[in-house]
Amino acid sequence: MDRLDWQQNPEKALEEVFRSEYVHLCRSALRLVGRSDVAEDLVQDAFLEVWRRRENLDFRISVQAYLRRAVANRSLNYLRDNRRTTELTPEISARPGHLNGESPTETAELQRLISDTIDRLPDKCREAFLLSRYDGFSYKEIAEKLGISVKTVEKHIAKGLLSLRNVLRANHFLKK
Amino acid sequence: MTDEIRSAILLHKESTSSLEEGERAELDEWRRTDPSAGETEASIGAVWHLAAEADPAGPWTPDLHAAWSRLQRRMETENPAVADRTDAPRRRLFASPLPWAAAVAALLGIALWWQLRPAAESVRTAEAWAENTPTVQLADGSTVHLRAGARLRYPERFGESERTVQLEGEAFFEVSHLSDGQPFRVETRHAQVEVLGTAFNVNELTGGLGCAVSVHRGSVRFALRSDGSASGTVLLGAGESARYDARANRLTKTAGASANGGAWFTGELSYRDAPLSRVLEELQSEFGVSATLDNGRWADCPFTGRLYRKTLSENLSALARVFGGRSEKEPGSGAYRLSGGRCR
Repeated sequence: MDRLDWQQNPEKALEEVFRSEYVHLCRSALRLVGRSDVAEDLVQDAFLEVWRRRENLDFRISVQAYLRRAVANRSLNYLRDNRRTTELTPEISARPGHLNGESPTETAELQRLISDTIDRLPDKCREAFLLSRYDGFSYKEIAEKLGISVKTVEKHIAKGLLSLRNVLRANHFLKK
Repeated sequence: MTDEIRSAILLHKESTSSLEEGERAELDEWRRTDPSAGETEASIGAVWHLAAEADPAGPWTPDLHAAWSRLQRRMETENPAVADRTDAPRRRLFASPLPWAAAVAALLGIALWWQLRPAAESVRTAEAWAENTPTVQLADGSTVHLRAGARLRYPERFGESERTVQLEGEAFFEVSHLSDGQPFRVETRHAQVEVLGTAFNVNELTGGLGCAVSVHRGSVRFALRSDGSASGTVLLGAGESARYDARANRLTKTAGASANGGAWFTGELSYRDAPLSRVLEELQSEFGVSATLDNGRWADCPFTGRLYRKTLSENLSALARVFGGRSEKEPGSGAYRLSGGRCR
């Protein structure tokens, strides 16, 4: 999707980006804010902002890259203004399927352990871990978003990894 | 910083190709000198891999079609530039010619079906037929989404002091807030709903049985029309709903937060600490299929979450998973039954 497409038929151009990016962006937001309805609202707002700014889009960065950053920033802003909810919802509590080598029951338990452990990490630690693991942001990008140093981001991610390892070891998913 | 954290940092930086100058040598040195390096590396690698597999977002994926429709509506209502584009009709009353014909027919037959106040200047009528749920954009930028069977009567231009439309049937309103605070009123046979800027659903119950209002954003004043037969007013905030029962002549606010009257339009049912019996009742109403609880003790179990208008089966399975029970379809009748499980 290039500049010409956005000028000639902006709605079609936006729809194309929407269809390829929306689900991924919603899942990214959901991991951070913990509520699917809020995640969708945040992503919708980001797309609406692209639409409002369609005549002044900066094509030096892709719209996809802009949306990815915008959704992460909006999710973090939401968390600054609202306490993160970890209430049980069907979407998050119900996780069918199984990982390699585990029975569905073991897989569900493993997913619950990982999700709960990430949930219990200190805020910045959890956010840094999620942005790195699932969204592939660099240390520098995460540092900018969270307003902390790159060195602190490195430590947060390492602590997240070690916390998960300890929990998985204690529950016999990893050898001690 | 402990050695353990430092080694985890270096391993993670290596896996993300982020090692800085000197760190490669530091990592190699650690691998050479620490006897437990191999085990640490394997466990950290496994955690990084398992965390990716056990995505905290779970299997959830939003409904792309509904989401795009919702964004399109927002593009139209929040940015008038869309309506002004040369390739789009200035007033996008309906998306296809058939409802236009319906609207014309409704205009011709207006005197037959509408018995409210005398017609104001330049009054328009929109009507939703089965298979079509047209969207009406009003002169003030507000949007009305009509459910099949609904009829809306509205002026081409609003007066200076009020914005009033009349509704038969059910519609979802997204009302523009005007800087001068001019209220927006929806009149039905029994009631009048007044708002300043919000989103809500009005359902004039069929057979003259009354009227139900659900508020999604903002707040509204739900008042019975002053015709001498009944009186009463209730204020509703976001997530609240109320119902007027014409037979009992009673206006009641629904206990607990619930604003699912607009589910036909929003595509979702939202609950906070709602008894499971009510959740099932609304699912039955939405899908027109019977769903019962095998264990009566479940009836009062509180449920918090959102259900989407996919299939009844999917929603019941989600509920069953939350409460640790089972959802089964009864052979023959096609009805569903939830069994087992416990309150959480």
